[in-house]
Amino acid sequence: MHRPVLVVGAMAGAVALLASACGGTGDARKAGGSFTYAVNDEPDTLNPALQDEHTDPVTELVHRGLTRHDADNKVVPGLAASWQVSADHRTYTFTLRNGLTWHDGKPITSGDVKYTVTAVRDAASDSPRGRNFAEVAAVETPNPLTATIKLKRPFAPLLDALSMGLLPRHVLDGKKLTDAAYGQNPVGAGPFRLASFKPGQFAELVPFSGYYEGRPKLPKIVIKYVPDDSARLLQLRNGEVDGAVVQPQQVARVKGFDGLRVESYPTADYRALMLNFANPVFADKKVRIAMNHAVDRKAFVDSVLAGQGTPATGPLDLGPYKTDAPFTFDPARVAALMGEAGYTKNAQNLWAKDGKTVRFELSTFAEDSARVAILNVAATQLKQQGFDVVPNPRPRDWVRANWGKLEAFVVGWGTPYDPDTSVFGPFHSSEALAEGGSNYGTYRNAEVDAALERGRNTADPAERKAAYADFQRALAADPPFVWIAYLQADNAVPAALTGPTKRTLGHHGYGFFWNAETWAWS
Amino acid sequence: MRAATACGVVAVLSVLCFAVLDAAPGSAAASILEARSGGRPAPPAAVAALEREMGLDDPMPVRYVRWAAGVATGDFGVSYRSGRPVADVLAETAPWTLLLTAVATLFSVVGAIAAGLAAALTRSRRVRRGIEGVLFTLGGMPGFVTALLLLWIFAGWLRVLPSGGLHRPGEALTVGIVATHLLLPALALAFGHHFGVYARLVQTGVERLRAVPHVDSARARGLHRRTVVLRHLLRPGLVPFAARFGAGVGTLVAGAYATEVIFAWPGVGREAIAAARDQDHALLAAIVLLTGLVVVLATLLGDLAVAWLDPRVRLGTPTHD
Repeated sequence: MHRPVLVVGAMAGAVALLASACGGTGDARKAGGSFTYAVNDEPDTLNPALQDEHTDPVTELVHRGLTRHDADNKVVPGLAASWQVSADHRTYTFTLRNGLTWHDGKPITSGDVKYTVTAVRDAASDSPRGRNFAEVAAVETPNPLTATIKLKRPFAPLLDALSMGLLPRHVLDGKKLTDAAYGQNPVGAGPFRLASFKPGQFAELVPFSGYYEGRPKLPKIVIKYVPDDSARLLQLRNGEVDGAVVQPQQVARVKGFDGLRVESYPTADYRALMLNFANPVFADKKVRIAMNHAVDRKAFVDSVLAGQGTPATGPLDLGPYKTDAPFTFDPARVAALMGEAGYTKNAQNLWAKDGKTVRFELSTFAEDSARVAILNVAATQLKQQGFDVVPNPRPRDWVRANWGKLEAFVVGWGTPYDPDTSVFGPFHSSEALAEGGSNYGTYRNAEVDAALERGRNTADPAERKAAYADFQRALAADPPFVWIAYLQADNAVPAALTGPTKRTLGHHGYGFFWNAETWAWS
Repeated sequence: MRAATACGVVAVLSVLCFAVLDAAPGSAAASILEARSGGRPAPPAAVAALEREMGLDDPMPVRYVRWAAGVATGDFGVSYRSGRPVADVLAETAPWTLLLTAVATLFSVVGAIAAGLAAALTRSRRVRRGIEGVLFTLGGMPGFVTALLLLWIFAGWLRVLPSGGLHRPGEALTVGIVATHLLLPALALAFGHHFGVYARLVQTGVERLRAVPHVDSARARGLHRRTVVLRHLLRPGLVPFAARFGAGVGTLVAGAYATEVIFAWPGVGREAIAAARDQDHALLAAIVLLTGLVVVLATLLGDLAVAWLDPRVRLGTPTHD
């Protein structure tokens, strides 16, 4: 009886027929029409006030703030045409551009500025941006185009903070800042308007003709959410998407695909080993300096990051405030410093003092394979230099509940914007974990504190530069972290797309679309 | 009677899933704040404030009663993560998961019967060996490997099928377009989850009956071969398969969730996995409950199918196999 065999054959045939009827995708890359770009992360909300400094592409394209950043991450005018700062640095007067409208056609006025600043300031834990406006005493609106922000005391990062997308008062007034409907269907003032948002699938963006710099050139941008790295690569190769976020290990392969180019930009997102000062083994700064000389940063970049990164020796290496890097891989220096600190090598070839080794658990999120790889290499390198490291990745849920119990942790930190946004949180003593801040290792250094406060409370560029130079010097002399590497962000785009411009990007490479209003097909 | 048992099972399930989710370490409020800040840990004071606001600081029984009362009236609460009503999220995603699992079930049943019957009845040893080899390979391959293999062959190598999604952005949502996008995930789900076992159950179920007296007597009476195969071999021979298939629906649903992630299929599974990762317990509890309901129903249907196939079960006479 061969009939069942025929059934199987027929089914296979049907599949093949249906498959061939669907048609293949062309090999030629697109050179016009909509630009479809695949990303891995999907945001929970498209409300800029609910995102930290890490703005996803859709939020970035839909919204615009009073200020924005240029290719050097310097603050330049956005919706505000200009601003004046009073002599005491406590009053900022913004003049809006003429004739601005929201995506729904309603005019943008100084009332929207007042609403945005006060709503975010008063949102408490509902907005991660609240602390940016904590120093705001009042916002005055003498006329529809003028907004005056009065501060309790000088706060230099204010201009940077105002790059956050402006919120429409007429849509949000009377609602909570966390309003879900607004988060899914935002009205903004950015170069692109959200035409549709299908959670789990894609967001469609069309140019906004009322954009103040003129209508953007691309007819449509589609942001597609493809969480699986391999699936994203496949869609990129098949032409199902025109561009995509590319993992470091995939860059070499993508460079072999026809009609694509890879835009590789530096990011301010660094990986480091955070040390918890609750553990007495880290009390001696010589031990921490020695550890910073015990890691071979180039080896990290070459192995774990597949060459897609740069060595990190401090938190401000990639910005204009960078000072000379003090830490190099230097085993002789490790031995000298440990000797000065009173340690000798024991039978296991580990540094020990009074019978105690420099023993600590090094942890990270077990779910984050890239961080686990860094953890393993770091543990191996430190062990080779005589530090008694116990590698132990832990589940994210456990870490969330036990930040204070961690002895050492592979952290990711850093923003490319105002230095205050990058370093005040993790290193100022007032931000210690017990105070509800983001200084998780409870690092405390009076010189660092003073320099950070000076940098924050003056608007004078030269004075700020000096303050952050002092900060980096003090931090290097008493390091709270063992710095490892800055990540690089890789994005594949069609060869025919012009416009993407190199800039130091943010956490997880966010910010690639920073100037998408100028992108076009050649 | 069975329906009452099923209701009881669902009630117990609702308590269990709520309690288990509650006992999981970590805090939903911390997850929300962490998501809002792009992955940075949230300050404990902010976590405590949000927990108060969300009512998460009430004792577990209080929260369960509040939740169960809502569920009874069709109010599943609000997703912690997106702030959207859970009922809306389910209404958007559940139909696509249902479509995927229904088509996959069809492929799986038809494929298993065809392959099992062919292996049982063929006189060619080579054909039987071939089918058994394929079934053995499929049976031993994890579902996600089958999915990636199909993806690689049809989307990567032959480039004849789209690799994921429901339709391309900008493309109309027509039956034809959805069908082409559905084919790969449905095949992956059908042939990646116990397919080998199912086909083998059909094969052994039928083979076992080939030599029993009533089949011999049917043949001796000169009945047409088709009648013998369909009525005397296939129908009773399917009993072990039907019994196992009903119980396997749970695996199929779990498999659907993984398949949805690989093929970017906008169903419940993607939501479930994201909800589990972000500790969105409101959404997750509803999905677990719904999934439990489906599995209970499927088991019930499996039992009914066995009863229909096997008169002894239907009539309550003792079976002796």
